Amino acid sequence: MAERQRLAIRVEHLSKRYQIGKVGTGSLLRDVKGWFSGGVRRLRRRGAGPARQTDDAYHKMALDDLSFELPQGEILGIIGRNGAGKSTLLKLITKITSPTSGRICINGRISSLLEVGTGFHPELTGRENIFMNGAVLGMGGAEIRKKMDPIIDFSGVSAYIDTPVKHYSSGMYTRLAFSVAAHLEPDILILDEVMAVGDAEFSRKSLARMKEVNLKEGRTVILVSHSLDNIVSVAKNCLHLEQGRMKDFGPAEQVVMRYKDALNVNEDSYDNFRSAGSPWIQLRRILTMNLDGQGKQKPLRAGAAFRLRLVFDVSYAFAGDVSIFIQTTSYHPVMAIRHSDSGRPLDFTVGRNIVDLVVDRPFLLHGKYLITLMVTDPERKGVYEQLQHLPGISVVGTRAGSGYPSELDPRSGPVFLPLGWEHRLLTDAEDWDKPDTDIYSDTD
Amino acid sequence: MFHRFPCIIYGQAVFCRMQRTPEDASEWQEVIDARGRYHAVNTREVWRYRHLLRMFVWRDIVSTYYQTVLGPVWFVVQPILTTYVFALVFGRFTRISSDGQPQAVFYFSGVILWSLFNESFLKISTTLKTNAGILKKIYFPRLILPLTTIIASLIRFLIQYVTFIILLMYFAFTAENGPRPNFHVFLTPLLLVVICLFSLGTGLIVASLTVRFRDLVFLITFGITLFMYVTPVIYPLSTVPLELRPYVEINPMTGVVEGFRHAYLGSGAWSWPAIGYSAVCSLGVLLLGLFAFNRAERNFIDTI
Repeated sequence: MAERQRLAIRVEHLSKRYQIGKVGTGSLLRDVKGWFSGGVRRLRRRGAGPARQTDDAYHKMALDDLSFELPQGEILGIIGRNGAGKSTLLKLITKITSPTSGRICINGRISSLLEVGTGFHPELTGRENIFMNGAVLGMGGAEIRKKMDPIIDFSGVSAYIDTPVKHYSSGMYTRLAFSVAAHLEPDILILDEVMAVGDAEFSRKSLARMKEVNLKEGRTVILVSHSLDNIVSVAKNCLHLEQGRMKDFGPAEQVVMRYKDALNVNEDSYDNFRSAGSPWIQLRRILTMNLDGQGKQKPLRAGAAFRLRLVFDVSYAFAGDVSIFIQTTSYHPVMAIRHSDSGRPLDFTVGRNIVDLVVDRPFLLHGKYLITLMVTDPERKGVYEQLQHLPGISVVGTRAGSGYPSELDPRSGPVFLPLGWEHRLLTDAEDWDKPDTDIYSDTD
Repeated sequence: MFHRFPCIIYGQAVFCRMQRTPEDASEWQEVIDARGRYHAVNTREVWRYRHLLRMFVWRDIVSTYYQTVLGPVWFVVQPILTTYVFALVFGRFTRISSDGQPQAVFYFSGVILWSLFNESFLKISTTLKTNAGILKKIYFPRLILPLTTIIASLIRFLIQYVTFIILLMYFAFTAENGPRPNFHVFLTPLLLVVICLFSLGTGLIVASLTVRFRDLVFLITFGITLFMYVTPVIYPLSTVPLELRPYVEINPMTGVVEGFRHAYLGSGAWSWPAIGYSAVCSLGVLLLGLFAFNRAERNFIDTI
């Protein structure tokens, strides 16, 4: 039998139930009731497994029947919205709190970079705090003494090492604290970017340390991050939590891609989108049409031309202006276009008005894009209609032979134009040697 | 294949079952599950963290009087001032007997014993709350914190004890009817152990309960003051009317304080039944406290 890959962590049917609401005068009575009924329940169902617990008025399942495995030496990313259970999972793994049911099996020493600076006392000197902090992190006295010099060197505060840390600048304080944490030798490193208090520099440092720990020493890493790019670039597998349950698990790129898509779940809703705008103009629909204006087109393909059609009901004629902003799902602006820039007036007349944005030079790549729409009245300086971040355009796949890339490169931006290439031999007649206008020149 | 292996022992068929699959037993270094070991203190784990305990004690002692002019002298100044006020109020104004002993040694002995209990008890009972910041971030055996308090209190007591001995010798040589230490002084460690176990036990119980019921903190801070009055700190047991004595003697601290006074001053009485009662009480309270604390520490972070 082939040797199985050793696991660092196995999580089995893990659940965590939190009590919610205030602990007040009613809670004592409720506790007594709870103990009593719990006892009765235990007596009744002796031998049977633990009762499955659910949400109720006083409790919330922060984690609900979660199971997964993490092999040694792998980096696991954890993503999910706020309150999805990410931090709860980390708290359970690091034993800060204990599960309601299920279990976690662990191989190896765990330490987490959210403990940076834990146990620091402002009155103690830097050196004393290294001892203190090291002890809190589970290092023995001999181990700390051995690592003392590297820690001080790494921190870069050696000149002030015998000064109480209350006189440190916050940067020095963080550097010293991080230095201790970085010299731990955990088998499993836990990094919570969401919780981490620190600047971008600190975040970058921890990420770098994490990669180093993983690559050079083959240690296991769990990374919780809101930065999906970080997850994709370092993690092998990714766990997507939603409301305490496992929503998705698998290779990081795929999970992150699906997660991004799921950020805009109600994609059909914009078709019959009703907005509460001003009384005399109302947006009825936004839809994508073929270029000739005949027939709906959805989803779009990269490289295919289309029209973005806006349908308004107008009850009062006015000369208006329409602006459209296109953004990625992470709210990065892609482009903005304004009708008035075309130099032509846009006169809304009473009745159903159709405004088309003709995208005859397609530029969007695979993905989803948000539309922010504004209808303004330049004369009266009024904003009549403003709709933000509609899940507007979704581009799936590529039209064959269009010159657009068929695979999405994470390094590319969302915009693509099929520019031309030319290639030939230089003829002697051409005068090309003007280095001062070059972007780059390597002439000797 | 040995999962159900019938063994014949003395004619009886017994199914020997392996309790767990081998993977469970050996593969994992650590298993975190919902069921706690309520009954047991993980002594091995506490031992593994002994260095942390040492650091905590050191921090406790050093940081208390950091940036003060007198420093550790405060350990001694406090009981001396208390003794002075007690001697003034109870000795001079209200003329409560000090069993014929010089008031200085009589009150000082009571004050340092009482503050050993009082301070460690109060500190342990709020230990989970005051250390919530660190406990929210990192795991270590929670029992380290109360143990830190006990050890730090003992160190503080030792400094006060040395002062007490100096005071005692002064009065033993100068006062006519002065203190007469006897061989019971060699049993002092026993008394200290009883006090420590008692304050640890009661502190743990209160700490476990205050996690959910903060009200207890108010009750305790004022209750502990009242508790001092049913302990022979400011009066000798001999002045308590016989019919009221059981109410004072039911207090586990009574026998210890009386015993300590007897050992060093010669007044009062060394009563083995009273001290035995105190010891048994302390052990009982400690077991209860450990049980409650083990239960509370697992999830207290959720409610704090």
